Amino acid sequence: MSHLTDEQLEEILQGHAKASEHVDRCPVCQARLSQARVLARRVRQAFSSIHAGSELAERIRARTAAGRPAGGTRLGSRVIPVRGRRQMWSGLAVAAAVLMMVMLRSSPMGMLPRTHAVPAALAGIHRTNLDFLEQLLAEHGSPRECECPKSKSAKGAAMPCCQRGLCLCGCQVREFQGRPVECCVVREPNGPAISVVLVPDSPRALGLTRAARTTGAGHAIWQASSGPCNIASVRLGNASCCVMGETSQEVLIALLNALEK
Amino acid sequence: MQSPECFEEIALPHLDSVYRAAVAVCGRSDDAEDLTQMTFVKALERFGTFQLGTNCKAWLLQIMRNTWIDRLRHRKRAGADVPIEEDVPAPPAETGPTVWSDAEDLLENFSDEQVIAALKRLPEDQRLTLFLVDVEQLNQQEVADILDVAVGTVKSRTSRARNELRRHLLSYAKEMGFMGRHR
Repeated sequence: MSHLTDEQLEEILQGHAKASEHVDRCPVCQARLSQARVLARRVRQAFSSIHAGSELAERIRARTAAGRPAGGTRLGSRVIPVRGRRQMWSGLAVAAAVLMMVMLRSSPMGMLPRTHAVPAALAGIHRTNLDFLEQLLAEHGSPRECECPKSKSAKGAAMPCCQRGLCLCGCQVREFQGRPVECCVVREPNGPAISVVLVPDSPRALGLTRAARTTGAGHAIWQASSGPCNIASVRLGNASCCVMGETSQEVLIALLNALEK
Repeated sequence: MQSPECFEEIALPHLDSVYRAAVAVCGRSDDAEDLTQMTFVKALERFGTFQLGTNCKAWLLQIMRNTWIDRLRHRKRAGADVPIEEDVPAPPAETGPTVWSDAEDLLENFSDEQVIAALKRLPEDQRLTLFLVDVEQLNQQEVADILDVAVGTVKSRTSRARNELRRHLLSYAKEMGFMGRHR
């Protein structure tokens, strides 16, 4: 009995031909067909977690906007002019703090849309934050950051920054997988900057791996890394509170614990 | 003729597909990002020739493929040993149909990264062909148009790519102790 050729198998796999009588009777060809289908599905699944980072999308938007005739609009661009950024960050700090307080007090977040993302895209947000922070510091020519006083950050209850030796460097709305997300940057004196981002996806959907340990309040910790950037996260309903930075997971987990308090 | 203002609305929704294809062919993330960005810049330049109602994703992937080939040629001229088109060694011939005894269980053992790593070991032309067929699920004619080859070539490349990928995964599985038997 001659088996299906590879090309005949492809024809069936891609729906260009129906399985022949031979396939019905031949367990070897049935297995080949089944295996090829499983393999194709697994390859598709492997790529499903790969997405272009928000930074790349922003760069392309900027490039395409630059290539337009004068007067063209920068659709969806979230690039904020350097001038006035400090004021904007301070203003957004209040909004972000309120949002964080609400989310950290166990909002179910059931209405948020579910999408997939990847740690690299999250790390991209952190890199963008670092760039903005660097520009901000260069602009003001002072090592002092635009610390948001406790009194301005939504009564200070949700923001651990000003209470635990951390200072709030700024807050911003970033684009993540085509959606706006709130994020802020905190740091210890002389310590690395850490981005806190609230993403409307579960940690699993973000491609993070569940760690064996939990936070002080018993929430499972999810982790990942992308290049030098480590990410730690806890699930908040259908959302994730992600903290990330070029620092150890221990430091990030300590911050997650602080955020819970 | 399309106005540039429509570009973001029509082309950018396919950013993930182009980026994934770039990852499939380039492997490294930085190269993939560069290739994606170059693709969109070129696409914007040529957007006036894009016909509404035709497959924008296929159009972008064709630009990406041509950009990628240009880069390979440029690198080859610069002295790098880069395979183009069919300039790759043929995989070892198999003596007969090979069947995994428990394909689904076996493949579940692999992480996404391992599957993608195995795909990256394929020759570039096979890699992109298999990506377009299995991941983007384009039909053979669309893939042939993107790759600028005959439909028959798409079929044979897909088949070779699938066999080669399976061979690499088998090799991984044995190395990692996922399996002790096959056929």
